[in-house]
Order: sequence, then C-alpha cells, then structure tokens
Amino acid sequence: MATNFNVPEISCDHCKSTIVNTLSGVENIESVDVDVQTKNVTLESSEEINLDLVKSLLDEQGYTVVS
Amino acid sequence: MNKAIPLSAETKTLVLSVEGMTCAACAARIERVLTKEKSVKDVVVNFPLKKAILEVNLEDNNSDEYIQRIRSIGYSAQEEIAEEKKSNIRKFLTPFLSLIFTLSINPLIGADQGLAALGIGSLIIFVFGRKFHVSALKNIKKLNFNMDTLISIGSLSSFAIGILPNNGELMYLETGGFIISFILLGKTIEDISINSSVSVSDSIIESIPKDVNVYENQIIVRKPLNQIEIGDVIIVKKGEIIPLDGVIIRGSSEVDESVISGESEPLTKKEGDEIVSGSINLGDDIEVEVVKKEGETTLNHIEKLILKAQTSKPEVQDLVDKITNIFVPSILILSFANMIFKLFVLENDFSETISSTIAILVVACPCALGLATPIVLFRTASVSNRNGFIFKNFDYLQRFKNLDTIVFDKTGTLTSGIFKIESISDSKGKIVDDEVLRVLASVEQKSNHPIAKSILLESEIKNLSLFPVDNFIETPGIGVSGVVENKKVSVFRSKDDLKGDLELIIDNEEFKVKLVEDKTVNKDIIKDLSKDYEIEILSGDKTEKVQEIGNDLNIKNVLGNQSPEDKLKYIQEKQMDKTVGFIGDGINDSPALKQANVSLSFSQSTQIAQSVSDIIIFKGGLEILNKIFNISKNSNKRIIQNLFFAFIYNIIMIPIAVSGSIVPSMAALAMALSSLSVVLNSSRKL
Repeated sequence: MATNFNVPEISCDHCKSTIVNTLSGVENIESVDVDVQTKNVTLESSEEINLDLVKSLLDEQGYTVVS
Repeated sequence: MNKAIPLSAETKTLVLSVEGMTCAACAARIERVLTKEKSVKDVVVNFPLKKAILEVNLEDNNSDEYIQRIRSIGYSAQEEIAEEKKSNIRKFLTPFLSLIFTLSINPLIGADQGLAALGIGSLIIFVFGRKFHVSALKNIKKLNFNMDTLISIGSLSSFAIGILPNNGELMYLETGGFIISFILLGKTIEDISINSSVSVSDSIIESIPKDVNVYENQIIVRKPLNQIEIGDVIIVKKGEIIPLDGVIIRGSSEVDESVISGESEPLTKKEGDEIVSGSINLGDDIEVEVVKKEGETTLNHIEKLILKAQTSKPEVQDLVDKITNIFVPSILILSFANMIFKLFVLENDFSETISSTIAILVVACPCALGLATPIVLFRTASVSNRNGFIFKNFDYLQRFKNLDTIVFDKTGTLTSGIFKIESISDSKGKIVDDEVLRVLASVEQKSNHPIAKSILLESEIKNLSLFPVDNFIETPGIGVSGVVENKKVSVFRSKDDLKGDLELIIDNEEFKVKLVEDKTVNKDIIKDLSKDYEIEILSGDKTEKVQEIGNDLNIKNVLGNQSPEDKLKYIQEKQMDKTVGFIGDGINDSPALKQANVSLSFSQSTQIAQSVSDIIIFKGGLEILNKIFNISKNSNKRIIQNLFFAFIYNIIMIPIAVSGSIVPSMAALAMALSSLSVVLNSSRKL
C-alpha cells in the first residue's frame, strides 16, 4: 500500500536525500519516493505505517508533514 | 525568524559556524530546527556567511546541545570564537618566541655569555626573519625598496655591528631582534583582522542547477548543463533559475529578471520571447529552445565583465612602499657619504667609522613600522563588526580619502522591491476610502504576483477583512478579474502610464491606483550624504521609475535603462576625474562594483555582488553609510599618523648616529617611544 503526504519545505535534492535517509529503514517502510517539484512524499509498505512516527522523525529534521 | 536580533540585557548572542549548507533552503531548515529549542529566543542562519546566530539566555551554556542538534540533521557546526581563538594562539607563537628570545639577549650579554647572545640573535634574525631577507633580495635586484628592504638592512646591520672585530657592540643585536619581532607581531595581527572578515563563495553561477530537463527524441531526460547544445529544448519549471539563454517555444510565464537587468517588476514572457540566463521563472513551466551554450550565456558574459574590471583596476601603491622607496635609498646614500667623509676627509679610525656607519642603518630602521598599519586594521575590523558591517579587504582605506561621488543602484538598494499603494482615486481624481482597497485586495487575494502581495500586505496593515472572490481569472502580464460582493471587479496595468500604475474597475466605476516603490532610505540620509558627496542613481530599471525615486529622494543625477556594461562604462568614465563609491546588490551591478574605487553591498545581496564588494553591510541598512565612511576615513588618518610616529623618532636619531655618539640604548629608546606612540594612537576611539 502507498501512503502519500506533502512536505512544503522540500526545495532541492539535498532535502530529498535527507528525507529518504531518515525514512528508509523505518519499520514496514519498503520504499521512499520524494518528488522535489510537487513536494510530495510517497511511502510504499506492506502494512500500515505509523504516521505519527514518520511525522515526528521528519519534524526532528526540520520538516513538517501536511497530508 | 528573520527579525533583527534585539540587544537585551538578559540574552546573549551565540555564533556558530556551520559547514555543509548547499543552498538557502538548508539555512532555513537549520533555522526551523533551532527555533524549536525552547531555550533559543531567536535564530538567524546566514547561508553566505556560513553562520548561525542564536539569541539565548545569559546563563545558557547549551552550545554543545545546539551543535549536536545541527549535526543531527546532517551539517557540521562549531562554536566560532573557540575555534578562532585556538588557531589565533598558534599564529602568535612565532612572534611571541621571537620577542622572548630578543628580551633574553641583553641579560645574556650582561652575564658575559656573548656567544650565546650571538647565537640567539642569529636565530631571530636569520631564521625568524628569513622571509624578509629573501623578499628584500628579490626587490633589490629590481632596484625596488620596500618595507622588507628596510627590515632586512636594519636587522642585518645590527648583526654586523655586533660581530665587528675590536668593537663588539653586541647590544645592537637586541635592536635587530626587536625589529624582526615587532614586524612578525604586526603581520600576525594583520592576518587575523583580514581573516575575521568574510569569505564569500564566488558566484551565483553555483546556484544554477547542474542538470537540466531536456527533450531527447520526444522524451524528457536529465542531462548535465554543459552537454546541452544550441537548438535543444529544455524545460524550466516554476521557481527555477533559467540556466541558458533561449527563446520560449511553449507556454508563457512571469519571469524575474531583476538580477540581470535591475527591472523590479516581473516580466511576462510568452511564446517567441527571448529569455536570459540568470532570471527566475516565477510562473508556469516553460519550454525553451536554447540559443546560447553554457560558457557563452549572458550570465557568463557578465562574469567575464567582472573579470575585466578586476584586471583593469589600477594597482594601488602601498603607502608604506611609497615612503620606503624614498627613505631606504636616502639612508643608504647618507651612511655611505658619512663613511667616505669620515674616512677620507676627517681621516677617522677605520673600525670606528664602520661602526658609526652601520649604527645609522640600525637606528634608521623604524621597527614600529610593522605595527603601524596592522593595529589600526585590527581596531577597524572589530569596530566595524560591532556596527554591522564587514570589510572584505582593507586596501580600499587609502582610496577612501578622495571619495567624492557615491553611485547607488535602485532596486534592492534604494528600494526594497516591494510596492506600496500611494493613493486610490476615482475618475475625478478624488481620493477614496479604504472600502475600495478592501474590494481591490479581495480580488487580488488569489494572485501570486508581487504587486498583489503588496496590496494584500497593505490591507492587512489596515486591518481590512477580505470578501470571498468568485470567477477569478488571472491573465499574466495584464491583470486579474473576479466577482466580489456581486460586483464585477477587474484590475489591470494602465496602458498610458509607463510608471506602472493600476486601473481598477468596480462594476462601471473607474479608479486609479497609484503605486510607489518602498524606499529603504529617507531624504535625510541622502541629504546628509550629499553635504560631502555627489550622489547619483544608476539603474537597469525604466528611466521613468528611476526618475521618480530620484525626485522623492532629491537626487538630481539619475540614469535608467542601464545594462551591466553601461554601468561599468559609466563608472569608468566617472573615474577619469572622480573617486567613485558604488552601492548595489544584483548580478547586474557586479561589474560596476568591481570597477568602483570603493564598493558596498548587503548580506542579503546576490553572492556575486558580495564577492566583488569591499564592504558588506550585514546589520541594518543604508542609514549606517555615514558611519562606515567616517570609520574608514578615521582609520586611514590613523594609519598615516602611525607611520609618522614610526619614523619620527628614528629620523631624529640619525643626526646623533652621524655624530658618532650613538649608543645602543638610545636606539632602543627610539624604538620604545615610537612603538608606544603607535599603540596609544591606535587605541583612541575611531
């Protein structure tokens, strides 16, 4: 299943790699896709993802999650 | 976040130097993360300066925590002062050792350890002072006499007089040691003052994406910029910098050319229009057929212009070099004449004559010379930092004293680029009430155009609540329309007015909206400056707009429609009989900034403008100009006074040395007096 959300602060590939690195390896997450232009993040997973955890991890890195 | 840091008694400022930021977004991200820390009152992260400036509680000692926080998001940081102190101490090691050794010479002689004294003397003069002799030798070959020649001659003579047979005036060794030590100390101070000013990365070229989206066999691929050929079609998305010059073949958009041309309002570009590299695509995605390859674009061209201005800038001859170039040969001739006269006319004793001849060379060498300039530069650097500006190089201080003309750029310098509504009037010219502004702001609320944003800001300041808008239509380059409170409203640019005022139609009623650019200075600042300087404006924007700002600020000499080349040429022509200061912020100002005798920009300016400017204002705005000028003039004066003090005592000593009655302690006295005078003179308020 895919989880989709928007991170308005994404501005360049630097942000993209930070987000991919932060979220890769989180439980259940199989792939992380970041579109710098649309500022959308798509997570692929087999089971439901703990979105609160994702939010707090990204918050830690200086990004806010808008769904 | 980006508000100015208040100076409060309960808080202190913590400066961290941050490495690893690649763009302004990184800076914003660090700001966001640090803002969340409860103990941080305010934080500003400056990308070009690579600094995070935090306002924290007085008793806050969490700097390690903040550093850790910055590291946790992928950047490295360290406390600035601590780092500087450490490396600065290391830099002072050589001069300090040299000074200690010098001070040990006389006690050793007193203890009858002449040989040890001689050994230490040679160590200082030949090892620590090695580079001065090398440089002096190189210069003498070209018959050039500079400060190094003087140092070399002075210190070597003191050594020579020390080892003269039968005479053994070892006491002179101390003088030689002091000469070398003080000069080394001065050089270190100078080094530190220059290093504490900014290092700014080289150009905006770096912020252009290295890869671009390009059509290849009808599919979009990403390719490195330097592989794009003329005729290729590239896609420039919203918010991106146009990487290469070209012509739009599909789509239309608003483009911000302000960095290239100085034009303050975004321009509408449609199919068939030319588009220049370095401008920013504000609107929709566009497809551009490339007409110039990487290396030949407008942006590259401006870069070359800067380089040209850089190389054509007249070499400013160092004041110290000017003096020494006369002083050194005079002293050499004097001592030689002294020797000839005493040997052949007075028929004095040979060894006595040689000794007095060398004594002239020793006392003539002003050892405070090495401190005269660096101490003032150090003071200037710290005073300017406190006042919110930084010197990138100090050479310009000499050029400053003749400054008589100040040329301003307009957009970004005299104006902030934001517009304000001066008045809204009806068809009879009568000023109307805020209700019209409320309707105007309501219809503009969905637009992203800078003018729309300015109108919304205005209504926000006046606390007007907005109506919803229906049927909103935005036509790029023309205007917006919609239905507000059941009335048909449309806003568009006046056709008959070059200044870019707006026409507003509510149902069938017509209004005129007069816009003014938000100024960053007021008349008083300009009036103050025009007492001492000729003030001019040089702008890439439309002449009418430049004229308007000129009228507002009481500046008579204004020129609009100036390309970067025009600006450069104008400054060059001015320089035939004037000393010109230029203040600007854009890429289009950069060649002129480089060419001007003195140049200033701001920490918010484009990187390229910062990199070619002598002075960067990082706190406040143009209101500190007068202060900058005064501090600069004063420090230049102070340097000249110091040079006078450095020489005067030694010059007085020369006749005494010629008379043959000089003793080493008098040479030491001259040195002490001149050093003391230099230090005291430098510590006065700038």
